[in-house]
Amino acid sequence: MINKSTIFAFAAGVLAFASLPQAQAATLLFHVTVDTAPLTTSPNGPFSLDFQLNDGSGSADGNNTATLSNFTFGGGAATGSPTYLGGVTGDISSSLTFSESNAFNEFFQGFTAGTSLAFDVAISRNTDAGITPDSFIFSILDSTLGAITTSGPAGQSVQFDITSPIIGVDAVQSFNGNGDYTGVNASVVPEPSANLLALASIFGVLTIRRRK
Amino acid sequence: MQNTNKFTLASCAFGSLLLSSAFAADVASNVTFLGVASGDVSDHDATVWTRAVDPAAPQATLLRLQVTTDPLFNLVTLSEITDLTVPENDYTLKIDFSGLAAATQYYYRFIGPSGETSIVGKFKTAPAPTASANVRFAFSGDNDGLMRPYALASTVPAQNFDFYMNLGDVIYENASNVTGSANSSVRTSPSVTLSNDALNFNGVPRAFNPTVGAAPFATQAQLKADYYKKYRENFLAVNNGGQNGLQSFYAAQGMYTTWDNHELGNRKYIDGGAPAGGSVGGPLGTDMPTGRGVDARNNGSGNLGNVNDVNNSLTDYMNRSVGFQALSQTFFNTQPIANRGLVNNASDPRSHGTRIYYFAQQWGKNVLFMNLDCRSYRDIRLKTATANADDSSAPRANNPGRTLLGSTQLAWMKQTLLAAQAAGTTWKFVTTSDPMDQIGPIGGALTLTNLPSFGTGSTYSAVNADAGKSWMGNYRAERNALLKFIADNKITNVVFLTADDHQNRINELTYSPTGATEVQASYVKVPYCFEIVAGPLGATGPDLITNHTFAMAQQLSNSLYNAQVAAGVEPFGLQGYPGLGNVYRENDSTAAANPTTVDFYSPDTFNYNILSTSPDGKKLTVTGYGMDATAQNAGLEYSSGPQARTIFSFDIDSIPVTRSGFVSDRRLNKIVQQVTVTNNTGSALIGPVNLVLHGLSGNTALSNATGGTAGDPSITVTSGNLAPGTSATVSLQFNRPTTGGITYTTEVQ
Repeated sequence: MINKSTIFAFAAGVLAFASLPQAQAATLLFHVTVDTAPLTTSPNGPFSLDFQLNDGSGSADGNNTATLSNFTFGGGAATGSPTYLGGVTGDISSSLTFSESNAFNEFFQGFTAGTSLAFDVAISRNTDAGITPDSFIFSILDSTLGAITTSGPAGQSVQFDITSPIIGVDAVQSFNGNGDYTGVNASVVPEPSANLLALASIFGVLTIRRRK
Repeated sequence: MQNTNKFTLASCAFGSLLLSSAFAADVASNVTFLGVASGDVSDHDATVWTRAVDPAAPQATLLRLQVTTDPLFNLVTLSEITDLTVPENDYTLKIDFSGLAAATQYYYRFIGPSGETSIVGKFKTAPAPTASANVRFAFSGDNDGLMRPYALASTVPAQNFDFYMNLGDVIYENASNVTGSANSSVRTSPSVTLSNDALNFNGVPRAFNPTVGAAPFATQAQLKADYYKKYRENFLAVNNGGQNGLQSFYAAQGMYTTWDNHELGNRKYIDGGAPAGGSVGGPLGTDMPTGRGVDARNNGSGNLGNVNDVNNSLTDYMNRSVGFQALSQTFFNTQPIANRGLVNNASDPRSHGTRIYYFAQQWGKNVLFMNLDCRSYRDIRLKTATANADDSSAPRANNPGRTLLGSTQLAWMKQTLLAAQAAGTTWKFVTTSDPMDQIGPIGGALTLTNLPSFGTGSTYSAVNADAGKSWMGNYRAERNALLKFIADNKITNVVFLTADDHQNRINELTYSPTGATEVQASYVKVPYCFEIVAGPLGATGPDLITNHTFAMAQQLSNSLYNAQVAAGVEPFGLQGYPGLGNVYRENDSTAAANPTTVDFYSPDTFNYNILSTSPDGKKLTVTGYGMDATAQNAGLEYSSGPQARTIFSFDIDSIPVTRSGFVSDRRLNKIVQQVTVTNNTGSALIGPVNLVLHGLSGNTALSNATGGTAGDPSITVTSGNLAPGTSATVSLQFNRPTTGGITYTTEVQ
């Protein structure tokens, strides 16, 4: 998907270019599943869900979005009122949309754990200026509002740093619970459309023009 | 016949040292020097070259070489060597000598029998392998006589480089008809006599047919005469009183040199490791017993079962043919290349007994320079069944039996890289005369859309595929294995240098860790490795673009980028490369903050690239330097044409700092970020290793700082040493800003 286009007006002579900027790779689709059964008996609740889309450039450049949908709770349910920080709209019962209208954009809401938690996430794939990438984060918070302990360095369950949208496997990291939360395992599966996009290539007629 | 003798230089008073050859001197009365050159300089030896002849009385001539550290050639500091020019080598003379001091500027000149004096050349010797030294050099390639007098080359002497890498296609065999005021015999240069193959290079050796012209193929004598002439012409002015071609360029600094297809006539001789084929040359086609070449077509009538794709012969190699060796000799005799002897490896018949052009040279403790020979040993360039295009498709192009380097050179290269990494050499620069990166889909071509206007009447067509002469196009298995070797052995900061594509681009390199060379999705980046494609110094391609605007370059680069990303190919540029910084591109105000492909790309210029490493090896600066390309055969002097300038530049830090995205920690009420410091230098970073945050935005503070420098917070990454090739990660905790984001720069201390 080409996310935006820009028209460069070139005044010299009679030339005028309609220039598309470097289009980034298509939006990536993932299905996230977390085994939340261990939380049903945990004394550390109540728990809440925390989603973030943070801008690496620090300028709220608005070049990426994330959309979450199709939440299922495996017998559990969202509870209480959600908290929105920055550019987040929507509702967990339908979908949540994150934009980078602020540097830090966050949604969290209490939930009662069931056997599993699942949702779909669609993330655009535009590289940020500078060397800090935009990042999408999903964490489960305990009663202290700290992320439950996982193998992730910040307690998150899923982190996707939106780095160079080039080749290879997308660097979506999923982290499993540890300590009190062993068994809270997160899996992130690319949706078929994402795979197809990653594999897409154009095999045109070989028209090599190389100076010898 | 080789014309190099090895001498030992010793400082002495003028006249006290005369290392004469065994030949008696012939007195020549009016010797004219074509030029001078030095090359293959180490920390203690060098090679110098000249051509000198009296046109009225051509004969072997005794010349004196004077070498000194004094630009005024003070007699006290002078050393001299005498030797004879060699008529059968076109009156060239090349002298290898040792006894030089490291990291020293030397000057040299030649003196004829009657006191005729050449221009003064100079070179710097390499710093000692243990020395911490700044190294600054440049490279380009592709010197086509159509672009004489090579205006951009006139900017090289003032750069005072430590050395210059003349990276292939140092002459072209084709015709030129340059506009100018000099004698037409210089300006008008016909193509060399064809040596073999058809004019359109279609992969089928042309059958000998005595009815087609009097001499359909060049004889050995014609090869030598025609190519020596091409080499000479690059030292001559096309305008009276104008730039003497590459004369000053060659004299300005020590050179390293490699060859590519044009020194070999751009026909069958270009594949030194392919079967030699039958007799060739002269009116009967029998002047030379082998060298006609063989069929390269997919199952062509002379290539049934594609038997020519991989040459496993014990004896039948193009590099053994008389024609190949004649062209090799003209190249060797006209360039400042040291005589390194012959390959001695009987287990590798492809390489055994061939001239050694490949070598490695240490420049101080932080830089290794490696020069590959990509022509002497490669298997044949593959053609489609209809012979109308390169065949870059599997299973031919990724046949694991095919080689570009030959097993002896490849083994040497791997071992040299391993040793350099083990020895703690930070930067490994490796020349290859054909690109190593990937342009288009595997075996296919990019579909480019939204192309810019290249200018009125332009016929420019962007390179959109990996040609059969490139690593990716025809030698994928060996390429993949080589890059996998680099990745698996954690050999860092390998920078491949190449030319050949007549455009300037920078690219990361990718490979398939599983060896699935035909599965694009399996490709990943080789860590801490990239390629610079530079040039041409003066050749066709960029001249076809007359719209030299930034908008043109940007739109073209965007078209390439989008097509590459759509194809799953690593696009041009170093966006996101670890340690990348200080990105500059003329007319791109956002290059530093948001580098894009155009910041690493120039399609419309004559250019060379400058590489400079800091004395501690921690920083590499790359500069693309060039001028708008000028028209073929225009004969434009530099003062009358476009001016050279920095087109782009960037730094690579050998201690890259990479950052994760920010994470909001609601319990701590902090913004948390993981920062990783990697030591890609050759030496351990002595602990404690601290990370200083400069320019931290005023809306926050580093709450877990462990120190500070000049008001900037710092944090200890590791209290111990950070060994070469290892990383350490630290978690930064920032106070949550009430508004705005967090920005800062880093410094490792």
